[in-house]
Amino acid sequence: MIRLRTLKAKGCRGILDGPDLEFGKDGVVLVGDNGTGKSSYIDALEKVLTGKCGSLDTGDQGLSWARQGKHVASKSAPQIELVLSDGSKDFSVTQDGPSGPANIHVGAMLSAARRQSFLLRRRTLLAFINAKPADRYKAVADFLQLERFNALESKLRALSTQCQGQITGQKTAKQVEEIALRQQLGISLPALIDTETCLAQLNKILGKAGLAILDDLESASIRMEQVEVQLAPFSKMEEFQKVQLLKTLISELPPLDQLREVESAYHVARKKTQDEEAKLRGNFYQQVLEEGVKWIQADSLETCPLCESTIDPTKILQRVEARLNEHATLTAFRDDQDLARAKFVSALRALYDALVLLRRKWTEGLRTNFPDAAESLIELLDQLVARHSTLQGREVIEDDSEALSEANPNSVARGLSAQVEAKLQTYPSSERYEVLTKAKSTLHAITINWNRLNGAQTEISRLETARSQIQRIVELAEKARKEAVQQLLDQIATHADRYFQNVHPGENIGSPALKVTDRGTASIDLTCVFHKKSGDPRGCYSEGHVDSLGLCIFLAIRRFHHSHDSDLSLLVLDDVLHSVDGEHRMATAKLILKEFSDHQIVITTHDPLWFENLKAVASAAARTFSYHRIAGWSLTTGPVWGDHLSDYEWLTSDESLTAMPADRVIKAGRLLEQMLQHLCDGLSVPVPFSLRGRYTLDPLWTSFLPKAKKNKEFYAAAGPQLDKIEELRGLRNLVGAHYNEWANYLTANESKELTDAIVTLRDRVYCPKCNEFIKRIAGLEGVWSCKGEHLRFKA
Amino acid sequence: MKSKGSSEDLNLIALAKLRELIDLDNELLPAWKTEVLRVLRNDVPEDIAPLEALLRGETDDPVKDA
Repeated sequence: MIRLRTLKAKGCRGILDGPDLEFGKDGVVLVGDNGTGKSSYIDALEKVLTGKCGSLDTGDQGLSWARQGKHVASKSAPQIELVLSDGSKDFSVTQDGPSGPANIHVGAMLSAARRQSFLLRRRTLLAFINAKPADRYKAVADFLQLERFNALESKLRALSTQCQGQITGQKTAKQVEEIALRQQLGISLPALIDTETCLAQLNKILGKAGLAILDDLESASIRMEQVEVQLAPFSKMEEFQKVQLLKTLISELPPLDQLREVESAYHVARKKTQDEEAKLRGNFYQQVLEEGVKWIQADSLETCPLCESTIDPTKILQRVEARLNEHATLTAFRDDQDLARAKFVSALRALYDALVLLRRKWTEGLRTNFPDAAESLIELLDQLVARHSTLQGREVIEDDSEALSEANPNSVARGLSAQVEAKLQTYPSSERYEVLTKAKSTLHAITINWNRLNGAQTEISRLETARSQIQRIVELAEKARKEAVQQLLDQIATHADRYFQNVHPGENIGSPALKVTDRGTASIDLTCVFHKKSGDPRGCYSEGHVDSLGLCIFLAIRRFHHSHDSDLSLLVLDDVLHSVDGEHRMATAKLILKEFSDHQIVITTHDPLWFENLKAVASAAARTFSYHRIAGWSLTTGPVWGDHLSDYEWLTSDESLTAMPADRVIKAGRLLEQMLQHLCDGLSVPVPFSLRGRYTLDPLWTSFLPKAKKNKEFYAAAGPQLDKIEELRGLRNLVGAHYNEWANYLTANESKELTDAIVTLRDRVYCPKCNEFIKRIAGLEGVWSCKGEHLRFKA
Repeated sequence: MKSKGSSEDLNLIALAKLRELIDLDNELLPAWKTEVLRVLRNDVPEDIAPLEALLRGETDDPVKDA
């Protein structure tokens, strides 16, 4: 068995540089006031054994070993070394792992330490009891180590999820097919896409196409073949559509009568203009007239420079104005003529363009040449457009009009139309084509989309069956796991109850039951019995009983671990059992030492009496522990070791027989002060108020003594000691609480008398069985007694 | 599979219980039951490939395929 030998820590938590913690063969008991560094040793021990520190690496924000693991006054990282021994050889382990030659047992121990529960802190004592059922399961999940089975469950769950994904995919595919079918068959929501609806709608479409209806959708492919046969004549439907286009183009030719009208209008406008121009003799033009008037006015001519006749400006202006008016009519005629010409050219060009387009499509549709008459008309129109883009004379217009008449566009259009109609007569009905085409696409949808939809539905059904089967297996796996865990928890609960009954015999409490619930995937309910009634222990147990239960459950888990894997034989209890009374703590101490005799045990406590109990029990059981008492702590020193013996233990030891008289009086005085603090408190002795709450020996003694003398039985038993102390207590004041030079004058006899009186008084007032001082008992007026009434004094 | 430690034991206990539950379950179809038991009897819970094949519809008769 690998045992802990020495723990060395530097710059770690509350430890600045030691002192080292030495372990006895069976373990160590460490006592010290709160805040003196006890838990720092535990943190260091856990860190070096497991790589973690449970009090810091909690996952809480701002709390971690990296941040708070280091001593606040230390500049370097924490250094921890644990010296282990197999009985013949030492091994060293630091927080970085084993140093020196590898040892298989050390490696196994460290490995086990990372897996197992071996350390219980005050703050985690009730964690398991207070946890919610689901968290309680999480708390034990680590040590259950069901990883392989959990992996199976996870994979089964993943398989179920995967199956669900496939179902969703198939449902989407089915929806796509359904939408296609609705569109093709004209079935809108909320009508269902089912066999009946689809068949009815398909038959309706087949009926319109004059096709025989179907009895079932499976025959759609057969009917499709029939439709294909009927659509065969429409195989040249593309050509038909091209001819149909020619018909459309012919119908869209510009109205030919309109061409004649614009041509005629153009001719008339041109004629009117030319007639007006002829009427205006001398060809007076506006500019000449206007410039002439300006010249006459500018030069103020009175006679004509040509004929020297007298010029009458007024008359000349009137004549010019008349001429200009005549010319305005001509201008208007010219505007009309230009407009008529533009319309004529536009009509010619529109007809030309329409015929050219028709000619291009003609060959594609009819696969024959464009008729000559139509070709000639195009040629003529082309010439006319070119010619009449500029102004032409009336004669030209008349000639062109005659040529256009001879070309006879109406006749050409009729000829084209006749040829197209003749061709169209050679094709079957286009309406028929449409209904057959609709029937075909519907049948296609049935054979493709309907079949795909049904395929998807079949796959969905298959997958849903698979999913329900997988889900069932998942449920069974969960059930199997819970049953397995329950089996294990039953073992732990049995152990826990056995431990609990050891500590609380005949108290009608206990029987803890840990039940894996059916709720959720993992939860553990905790119940206990209280006078034959089962329920949550927190509901009826005292604080001390709940603490005791928490410890027993932890011990049961530790025992369970060790029985399956004994590589780690270590039990660490860090300042647990605050509220457990003396008698039960004594029983607990015996239980731990008895049940864990195969373990090294590390116990820390702030309670000197519990410390004494443990020492007494360990001594009686011949167990080899090392004991340390932390006398004080400061930031600059860290923990400071004191004498591990209590004052009472020291005063009753052989060591005190040869000690200096003053040392004995000092310790006896301190013991008396501690005793009186307990007695005044437990016996409700009024003591003069102290603002600082520090009740020193004199006020305690002067308050206690009169009360003690009034209790007849007590005074009968302890009177000599009380009187002796009253007589000699001045000696204690002489030496003070600590050594001084007056102490040198103290005689050995005086010292012995006072010390013996105090030690004997302690035996009268302290019950080692109940592990407590006598106190007032509720309901027993005037009785001073321990809990078990082993010491009992009536007033 | 045989090794020291509670973890292995509890895994095996749970697997044994699962086998027992599946054997007794009437809701599981024979194909699934056969397949799951085949996986579990190998004591290799990591391997659920046969179940995946069954899910994919690649086999309807695990006994024959096995």
